[in-house]
Amino acid sequence: MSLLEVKDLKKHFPIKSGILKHTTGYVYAVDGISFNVEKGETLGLVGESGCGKSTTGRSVLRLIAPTAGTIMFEGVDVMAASRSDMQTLRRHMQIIFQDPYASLNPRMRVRSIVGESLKIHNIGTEAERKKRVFELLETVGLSVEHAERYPHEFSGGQRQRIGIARALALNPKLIICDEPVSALDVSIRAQVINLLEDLQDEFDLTYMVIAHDLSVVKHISDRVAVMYLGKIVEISDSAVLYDFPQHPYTEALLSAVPIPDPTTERARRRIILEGDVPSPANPPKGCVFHPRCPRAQEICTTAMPTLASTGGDAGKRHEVACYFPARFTGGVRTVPNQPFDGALAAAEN
Amino acid sequence: MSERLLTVDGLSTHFFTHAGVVKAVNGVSFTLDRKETLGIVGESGSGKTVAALSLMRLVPDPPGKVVEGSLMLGDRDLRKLSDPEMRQVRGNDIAMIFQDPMTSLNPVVKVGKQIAEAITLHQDKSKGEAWKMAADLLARVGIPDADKRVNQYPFEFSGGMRQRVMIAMAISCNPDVLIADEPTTALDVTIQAQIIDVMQEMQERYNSAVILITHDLGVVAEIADKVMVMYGGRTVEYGGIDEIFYNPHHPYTWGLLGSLPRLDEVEKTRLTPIKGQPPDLITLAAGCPFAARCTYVREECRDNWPALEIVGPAHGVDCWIPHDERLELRAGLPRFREHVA
Amino acid sequence: MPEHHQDTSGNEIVEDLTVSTLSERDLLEDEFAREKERAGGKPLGLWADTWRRLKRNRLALVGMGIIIVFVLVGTVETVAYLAGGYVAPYDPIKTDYALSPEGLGSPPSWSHPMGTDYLGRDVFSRVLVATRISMLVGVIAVAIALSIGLILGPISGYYGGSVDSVIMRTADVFFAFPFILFVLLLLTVLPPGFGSVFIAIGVLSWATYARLNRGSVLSVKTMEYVEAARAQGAGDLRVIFRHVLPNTMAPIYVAIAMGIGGAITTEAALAFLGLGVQAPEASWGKMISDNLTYLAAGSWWMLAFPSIFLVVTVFGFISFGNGLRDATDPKLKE
Repeated sequence: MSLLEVKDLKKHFPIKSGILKHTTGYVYAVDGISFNVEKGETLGLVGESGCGKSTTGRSVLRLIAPTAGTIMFEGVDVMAASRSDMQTLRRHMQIIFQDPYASLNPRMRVRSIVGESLKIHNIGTEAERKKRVFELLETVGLSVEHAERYPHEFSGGQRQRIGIARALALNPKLIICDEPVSALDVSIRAQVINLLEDLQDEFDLTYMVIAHDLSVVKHISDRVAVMYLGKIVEISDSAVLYDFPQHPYTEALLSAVPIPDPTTERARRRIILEGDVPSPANPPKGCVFHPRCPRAQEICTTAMPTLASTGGDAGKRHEVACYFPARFTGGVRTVPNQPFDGALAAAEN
Repeated sequence: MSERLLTVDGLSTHFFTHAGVVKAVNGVSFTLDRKETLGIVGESGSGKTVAALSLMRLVPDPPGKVVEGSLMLGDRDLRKLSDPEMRQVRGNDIAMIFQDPMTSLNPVVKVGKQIAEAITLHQDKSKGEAWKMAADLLARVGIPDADKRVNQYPFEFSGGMRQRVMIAMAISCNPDVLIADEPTTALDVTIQAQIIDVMQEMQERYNSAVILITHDLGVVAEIADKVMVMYGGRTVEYGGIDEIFYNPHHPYTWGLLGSLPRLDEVEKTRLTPIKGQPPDLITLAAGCPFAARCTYVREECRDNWPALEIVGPAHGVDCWIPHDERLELRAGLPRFREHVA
Repeated sequence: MPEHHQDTSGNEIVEDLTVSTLSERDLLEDEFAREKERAGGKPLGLWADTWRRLKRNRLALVGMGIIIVFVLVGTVETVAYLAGGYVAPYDPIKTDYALSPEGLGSPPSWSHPMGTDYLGRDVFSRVLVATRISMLVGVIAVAIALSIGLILGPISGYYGGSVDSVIMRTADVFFAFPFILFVLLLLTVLPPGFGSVFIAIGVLSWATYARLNRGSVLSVKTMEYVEAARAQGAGDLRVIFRHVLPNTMAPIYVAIAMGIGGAITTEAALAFLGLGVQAPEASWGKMISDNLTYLAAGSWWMLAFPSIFLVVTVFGFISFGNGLRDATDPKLKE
């Protein structure tokens, strides 16, 4: 049983307008995604603005109420959980936020921030909690005298560490990291990335890392899921994704990421996508990527392809949602002319 | 033999406040030739943005002041120009693109008007001609339906489109030098690729030189011809792109290169971060500003600013560590071995 | 540059900030001073920033001085009253016909620096003792208004939807009535005496604080630290009162300063109309009311001094309130 099993998750935000505030449409932020996260692994969720990755993270924690789908954590149905069950679940699933400046209450001292969850869940005595807070601060590379200070006295990297200490307080099993380093200076990012990796080893944590920086995601994740306009378009082991991207969006995304190596850069072939990302309030019919896709054909306008494995060299863990995914046999890339059957499952239903 | 457009020598910009003197930029020097792209790399507190603003004489005065240095645009010293003369230079000879396209465009003025304004300020064109040119420029930077869109307001454009509008405005008077301050930081990576493409195209078409200010070494590797690495208001290393990436000599540069996760790494290697925090510009001690975070720091580093050492063709570094010792230390760094020549 | 606040609309107390009163230099100084303190390793207080900015505003400091004096005098007089006495050169209540006809209603002199009224009472003493009434009105009325407003406001803002509509529409009703009339109405059903005045003013002022606070709550509740609290299992009550409310207090402090000023003025108006304080007690409004007729006769001092005290005190609160608002401008923070 996977630690986290998400099936067909949907989150549609209603758009209200007019004096009577009636619903005129929806923002299809997350539109039917499924994935599993195994214990001890790091799953990366990557995509650009509007792809729905942040919404997914928050839905898993039920910070946002999903519109549809199931979320199973260690076999427990998160969406059906009662208030007290949810309290218990919260001890196992935690989150680290992107903005080190907005994610800490400016009016609370660090010790209160880090120790709050202990208080909420009535764990230990006052003295024990204090000790635990000191322990946590040291674990993340801060020191005991930082406990009495306020957030504004710290730099961005230090604040992020405070946020990490807070997330660890209850000994969670799963931590959702929502853009954990994008708001930090480049030289600080590596510190925090290494810290997260060390903590994972030390405390046997499972991570779901949500980010737009593909280099960071690939580095820290075991598997990566690429999202576009509310759907997962490809999911595979992170090493495989770079070398053998099957989905045209993944290819374009990878080619757009700058690599800090001039020789490599000069040799690269860049795939520039036309236009902007469509609005999630008005997603294209059929495959959500087809208007910008360099190899879109008639069938792509009919229905969104299902996420499936092309088999062969790709292996079962590599799934793609495309009618014309690239294939790699013996390292040679080909794009077939015939649509891929595995993707047709949805079209037929 | 390319024409030398810009020569900056010993630029120092300080802010004089009651809380103390903030030495935002100290003794920065570089040159820029036609069609060249200079990448200025640094993090918060490096002084890179203030350096660019100093070039444009856009530093708020008070409390800021360019206290030293010469800024030669061709044969004119920008520091010696009068205000009206400087206004002529801005937009016409040197243009700037700012970081956040959301806030650098006036939300209540039509896009066409903003571009036309830039044109009529510097060129002898009628309003009608200027608007027509504005529409042309929008088309040239890749905005579809340019004739229609020239009449729209900024909020009707997406982030990437707005940045294209900024580029259109910047190139409207065919400037010799284009300064881009973190032009793609606020954008998605596929849009970033589009914008960089547009910038390179414009650079090619107008024969301009570009100063790209960024913290993203990947973008620098993509388009820069030479790189200036800044830390704590000073230049720590300066040289051609290949020299900086494959023959870096400053510990900060090593730190930056070593702390970046690379998309194309074959085997996962642990990142080597730089310890400590970015500098506080008021409490900058004498000596090398990087001393507090340098793993190889020694006595001299805290006392005096190191002398410039030439370590390769057009490649200078400011560091106290002796040359040979530096090469040895660098050879021992894990993430380097494959990449260093 | 116009500042767009999601704050109250239709409320004169807090306006949209237009031009910042601080110069570029001040802004940069603030930033550097903060960096310096941080670099120096000293823990920064939360109010250090505000205090530094407030210090620059002369008018606000004057206002603060006035408030301090006012509160001191008021407290001293209240304590004295509770002990059954007073602190003043003369008895403020006892009429003293022993003063010869020339002494009754006499203009300011060395023995009576503010003169006497026609009942032989020292104006200065009465003005001093009346400070008690004004201070109590200010503090108690605003306290009552806050205790209602700072519960309904956050609840309204945090939950939104129909709860928000109901509370805000109720607040609208309270805004729609002319305030004094409303207070008069309420006073007809409350027992006579100045205690009722406090309650009436307080109960009818909650809407201002609720509306004001709701605006801040709307933006604070979307902050990530609120989400973080919920992610850790905090219940609504904890989230609202431990996380949201404390971070919405800055404009409230300003409103309190203004509100106290307003309450004092209202009490004066009511006393002027004959409500609240009854003879022979002294309140500034009552003194003005009682002695208005004598103005035509040329006895200006019985009226002027209470008026001056009233105006200066309210001015003090308003200046301080303005200064506090400028000093806590969120745009200038971070």
